[in-house]
Amino acid sequence: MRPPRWLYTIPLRLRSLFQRRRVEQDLDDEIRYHLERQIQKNIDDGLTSEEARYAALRAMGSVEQRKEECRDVRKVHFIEDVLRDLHYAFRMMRRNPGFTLLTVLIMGLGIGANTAVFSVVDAVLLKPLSFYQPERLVMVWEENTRLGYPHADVATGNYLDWKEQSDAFEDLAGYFGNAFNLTGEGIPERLDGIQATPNLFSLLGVQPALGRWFNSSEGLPGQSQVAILSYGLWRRRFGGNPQVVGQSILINDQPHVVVGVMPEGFQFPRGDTQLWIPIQFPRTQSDAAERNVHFLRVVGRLKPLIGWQQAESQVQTIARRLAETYPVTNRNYGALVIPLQQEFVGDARLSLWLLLAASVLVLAIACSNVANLLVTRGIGRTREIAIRSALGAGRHRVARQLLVEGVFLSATACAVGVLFAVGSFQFLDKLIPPALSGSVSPALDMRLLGFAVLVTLFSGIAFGLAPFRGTFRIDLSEAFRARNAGSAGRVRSRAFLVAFETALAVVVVASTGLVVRTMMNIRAVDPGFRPQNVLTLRLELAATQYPTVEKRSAFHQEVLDRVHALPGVISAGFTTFLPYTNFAGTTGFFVEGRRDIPPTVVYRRETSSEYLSAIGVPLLKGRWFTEEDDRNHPPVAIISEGAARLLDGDPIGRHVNLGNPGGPWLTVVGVVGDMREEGVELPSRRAAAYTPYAQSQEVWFFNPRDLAIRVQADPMSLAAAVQREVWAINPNQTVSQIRTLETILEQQVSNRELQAALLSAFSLLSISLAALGLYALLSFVVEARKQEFGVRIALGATPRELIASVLHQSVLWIGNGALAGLAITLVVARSLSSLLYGVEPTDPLTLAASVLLLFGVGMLAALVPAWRASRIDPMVALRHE
Amino acid sequence: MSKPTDLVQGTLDLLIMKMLALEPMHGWAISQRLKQVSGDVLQVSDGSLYPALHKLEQEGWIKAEWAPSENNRRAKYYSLTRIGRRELEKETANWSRLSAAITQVVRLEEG
Repeated sequence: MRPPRWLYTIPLRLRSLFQRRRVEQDLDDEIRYHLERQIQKNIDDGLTSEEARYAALRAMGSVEQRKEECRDVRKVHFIEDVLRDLHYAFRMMRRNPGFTLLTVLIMGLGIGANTAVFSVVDAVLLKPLSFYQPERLVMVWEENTRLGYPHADVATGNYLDWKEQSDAFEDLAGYFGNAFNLTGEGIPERLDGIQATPNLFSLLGVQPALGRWFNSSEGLPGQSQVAILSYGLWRRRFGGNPQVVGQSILINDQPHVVVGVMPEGFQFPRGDTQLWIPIQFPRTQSDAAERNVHFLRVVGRLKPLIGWQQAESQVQTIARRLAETYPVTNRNYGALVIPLQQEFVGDARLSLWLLLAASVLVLAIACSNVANLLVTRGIGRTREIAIRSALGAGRHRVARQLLVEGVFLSATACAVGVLFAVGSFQFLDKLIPPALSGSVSPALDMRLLGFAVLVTLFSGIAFGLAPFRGTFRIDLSEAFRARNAGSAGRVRSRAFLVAFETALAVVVVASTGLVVRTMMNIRAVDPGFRPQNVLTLRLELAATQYPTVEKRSAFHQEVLDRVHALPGVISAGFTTFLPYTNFAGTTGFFVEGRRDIPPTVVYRRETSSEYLSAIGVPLLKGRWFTEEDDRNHPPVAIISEGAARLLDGDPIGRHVNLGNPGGPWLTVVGVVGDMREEGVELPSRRAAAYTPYAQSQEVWFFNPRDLAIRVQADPMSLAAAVQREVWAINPNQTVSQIRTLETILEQQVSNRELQAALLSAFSLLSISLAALGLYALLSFVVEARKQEFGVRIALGATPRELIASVLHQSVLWIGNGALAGLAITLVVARSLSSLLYGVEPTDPLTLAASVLLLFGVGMLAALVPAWRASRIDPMVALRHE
Repeated sequence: MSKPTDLVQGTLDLLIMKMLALEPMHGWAISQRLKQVSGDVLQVSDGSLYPALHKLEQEGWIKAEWAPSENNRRAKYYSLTRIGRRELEKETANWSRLSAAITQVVRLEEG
């Protein structure tokens, strides 16, 4: 077989590159050998040694030129030149350490900010979810906007009908969140998990790391109970022992056989889901039971080539049909389909794009700033470049050298930027929406490095070539003659760069202003309770240990008694759900003497007597619950202001009913303020009604589970003591979600806070860069016009006039830039409106403040060069030439 | 004195490869052989020989190694590689075709 050509050529190229000295030596030897032989031959032919030598040399022509021709055929010139350029660039950097440091720092921050934000965008928005063909996964919801449920959980009967009647899905699975007590060996634990139809895992297409999926009969009543563990739970609780599969563990005091362990990184539906238990919903005879209770989440896998919109219109058709067939339960219920990725990412999408856009602007400002610096330096190098051109360096040769220098600088900046980005990863976790936290995190991988390199190359080329434009307009002879620095065209293009920076900075600062004001508005919102100094925790009672209301309330009472005995406790109370912890738990609100169909929906909470006062809800009318409000006394309720508005006239003493028009009427004894149950930004969509736990009739969903304790000092210092007291009563009782009420409130705003902080940092950076750009340009202008200023001073101009003339120029530049920035902001800010709260995207105050801020900082930056202009000594300036 | 006939582009390469096909040679020997074979008709200057040799080497058609020469000095010996031999066949065929065609044309004009 014929050997391929590269077998010969590659080693030769490598040799030419890396053994340059050897190759040169060889060439030398070869030519010398030839000459010696030729001279010898000529002597043998009868010439004198002088003549022989001359003849041999003449035959060869110019030896050096021949050698150069030989070198030319080596085909590695390009690489050699670039290497030389790199070497040269490195030397330039070392010679100007100040310039290099400044450039690398500016660019490093720009690249770092971009890379850091991109790492989150990439992890959250761009990388596919870790399921099989995740783009085909969707969530299917019910919807009853009329009742205030735009996004409702699904009734089992409807789920089964969708599953049977729709052909857009390969499969549909249902699940609902639950929490389980894990007891047995070790401390009792409260675990978040879900109960899901057995097909969930095959639908998601993820194999367990150990064991198997649920099989199709598991989850039916009467079957043996099984469970699948998360990787984290398996490692933490069971030491990663593979023998656990097949063993029985105690979940809610019932033995469950572990049939599988999911792989590391698998999470569904949330990062804190640790346990999956199968459940199935066999058809029942009762429509009401099947279709009136909405608690299922439904995830589906679309058939290939079916779009989610197509699937949505199909489920909507089915929902309409069901509404006709079952008017009592299904009236006004529609359906909607949302891609899983979108469901998981939620509102984070826009805020992440905003951050990325802001960081790109910062990079653009950084680039134009460095371009500006390079132009300044380029002017200093006019002579050098002119000499090189005069010596025959081609246009592209000079351009390439400038380019290599630019890329070399930005490559160094890239390294700094990547380090900066990696260092910021730990702070960025808060930007990840909760549904994804745990499974995705910003990471240094090839994609991220690729992005950083791309950004770097782009910016390196952008600012590397900036000085090039002016370079070849140099008149060579003029360049040699003198330091003819400030040609008008050069200043104009640089003034454009400064205005450009100012404009972008205004956009960044104004967006930041809007987000910061949103933040302040949210902070100023009264949530309807006083979150300071309140410790909260959840005690979920196992039905096996506490099967009756009596047993439950006895336990709760004992906990309250013991907690009250602890030092520093002011008050304590139980409730169904603390604010923000559950948006469900609603009920119909009926008023005696009225027939509202459908009734208004309110939050229902069963509380112990002190709960409302413990979390600091204001009592507006009437009284709190007392110890007297028990089963021996007539049933009572406290309602919130919003609910009181539904009753005309004085609410106290009126009769209302929660969820059961046939049941007993409750007497309203008090009115409290409305709480913002769903999030600080939103006024609660629903009012609330509270009933005393001591009058609870049954063991049901509304029984209290959350404990709030108001204390005098730091709430968390009491946590261990409370836990001890609970375990003193029942060592198998789980205690979970120990935190302060302030923390719960804080979590509502923490991602916004981080976003505002990042944007503020970007703003600071862009303001500084814009100011620096202006400062550099004005300093240059003043230096270039030194003579002119000198002459003017000599002719009697006052310092004030000179300062004014310099400032006048910068007012023009900055003013134009700021106005352009304002115009851009007015256009783009509209897209931010869904991120804002209590402030219009075109808020005049914020916009004016941003423009003024930039203007003010710009003027400050201009003052120093202007002052310098006024201090020029005319004698020195004139003697200079 | 009339100028020596310029070598047709690529002809020098062909001549060099043809010589190296017979035996490995060093540069000086090639220059001597060229003068010897073609007399004064093809005047190959020593100057153009070496760039041509280096070019052929870089193309991978000939390879070089240092070896003691007939006067016991180290000299750079060139020899044809296998892909060079193939190239030579191709170029020879080309040359024959080309020269036949030119001959044809020249005769036509005479006629």
